[in-house]
Amino acid sequence: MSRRARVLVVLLGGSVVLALAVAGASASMLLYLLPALALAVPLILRRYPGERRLLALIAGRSKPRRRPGARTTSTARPRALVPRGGLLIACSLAVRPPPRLPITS
Amino acid sequence: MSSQQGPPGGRLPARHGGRGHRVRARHAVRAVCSLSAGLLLLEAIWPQLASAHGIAGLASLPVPAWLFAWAAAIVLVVSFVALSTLWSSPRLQQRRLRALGRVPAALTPLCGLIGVALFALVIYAGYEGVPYYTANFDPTFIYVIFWVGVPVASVLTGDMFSAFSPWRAFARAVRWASRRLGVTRTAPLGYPAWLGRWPVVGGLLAFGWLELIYHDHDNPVTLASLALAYFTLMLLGMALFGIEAWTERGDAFGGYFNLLSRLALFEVRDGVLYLRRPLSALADLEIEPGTVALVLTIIGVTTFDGASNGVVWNTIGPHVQSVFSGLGLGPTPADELSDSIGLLIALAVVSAFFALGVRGMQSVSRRFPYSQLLRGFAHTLVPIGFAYVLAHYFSLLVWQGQAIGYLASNPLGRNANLFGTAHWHINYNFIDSTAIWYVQVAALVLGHVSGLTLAHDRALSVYRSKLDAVRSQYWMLAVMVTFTCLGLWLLSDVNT
Repeated sequence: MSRRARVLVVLLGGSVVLALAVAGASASMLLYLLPALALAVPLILRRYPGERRLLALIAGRSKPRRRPGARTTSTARPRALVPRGGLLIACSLAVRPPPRLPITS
Repeated sequence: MSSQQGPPGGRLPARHGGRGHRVRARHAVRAVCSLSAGLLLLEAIWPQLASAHGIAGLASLPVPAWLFAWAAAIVLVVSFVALSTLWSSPRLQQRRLRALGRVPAALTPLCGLIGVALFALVIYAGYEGVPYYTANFDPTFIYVIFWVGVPVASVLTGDMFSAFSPWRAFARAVRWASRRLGVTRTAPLGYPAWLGRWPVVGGLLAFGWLELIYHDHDNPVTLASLALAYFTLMLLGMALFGIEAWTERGDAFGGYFNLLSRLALFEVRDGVLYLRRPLSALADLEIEPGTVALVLTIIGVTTFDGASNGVVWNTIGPHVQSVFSGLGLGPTPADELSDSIGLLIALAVVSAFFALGVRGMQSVSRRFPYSQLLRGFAHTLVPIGFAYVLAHYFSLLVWQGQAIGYLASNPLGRNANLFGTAHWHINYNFIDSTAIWYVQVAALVLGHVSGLTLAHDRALSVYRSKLDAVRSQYWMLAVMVTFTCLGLWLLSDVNT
């Protein structure tokens, strides 16, 4: 929504409220519609109140949850790691090879 | 908030000036608090304006009626947060059915027979009964049982009207008889795709106009004549386009009740009764031409019904009427014309709220054109439409609906007592105004939470990024809160 459109929407909304107020609804109507206005005005101004916190909550929930008391260490059988990639090259070039990799991961 | 879009992963882009943002947010909160305080002060100074009318005025409420709108808004905001955080993948986009058992084959013809008998009674009572709307069977049956009771029953039990529909039952009986005689006939025309649900929209508008605007709407002869005309039109449509095709799209009442029945937990298909997941039947609603207009018409007509008895239209209406009177029209046509304009304004206001919400959703992500979003989220308004209908007509249904007890025994109003219930009367203590108000508030809140749920589920399946989905739902939340507040204001504003 462009800035011009937003200004138009705000002006239109204001004039509708004014017209209804003149028509006799005034305080009663505004009291009812205040929550809607409180939500709509920030949105028209491109504000999304609380979205950072909401996304943080969503991100927090989407992480895999660990059961309390569950073992943190892997129960998989430890295996020896074979040097690969850059480490393999380094091992082959080294006069004295680097220390052996630990067995457990 | 900047207008830049987030990355597909849904992470919020890093922003500069966090302190400035906090200051702005604080200013916004302060502005809202100041406005609230100002309005509360205005209410204290000017209490007669803020005092509730209608049911809310009659009910003994512990807090001012407008606080219910605030509470309803809070419930919607909490629902929005809960949906955003706890409902992380689409669950309603695929319909899951669980068979409960077979429906007896004789049930559909039996229901059809009852429907045809009731229709015949409406015609007979209309032409032969007394011309008083309180004593004749027709006005109460058509405006209360048929117009309000059948939608409620459809939401509770499923599409029961398709079994009771007199025109459908009559057409099916004719088809069955002709097949027995060895005459088989197919519909000469295919239902035009461009027509979609527009006949339902037209029919609902016409019925709404008849009920709310037409001066002679209570006349039993008028009602019987219109019912006969509609019956003939339906038979013609079914003869041209086929029974099922026309019933689903061309029959205003069949289409309307079928749409609302999608809120029900039950569904009958091929003679088997199924249980389905709540709201899932709305998610796979085919958005044919006219569907968006149909849901907006349901809400718009009910909105005008509330507004026409309220302060605003009672202030504006006479001025519009005087314009038509100045053109030389009599008081009745001038009043009908001004109310027709009021109905159009109500439809325009409701449509504008929804259109504004969808425009806002479009501003979140440019991937989807406006028309696609309009159609894609139209089904979310169906629970709201039903909530409006239930909230506005609940008192009519529970109070005036009791009249059918004595009218069934004396349908013509000529001192008959067919079932021994002619001496019954309406018990207004059956439910008090306070309970009605609470039912109305609950219906509106539940309807809007259901709409929000449908919108959230659709957004999850439409948007790639979580950020876009959440932002789009801010707009739907605003739409839902607006409709809730509007509905509660209309209910409290009714001068009854």
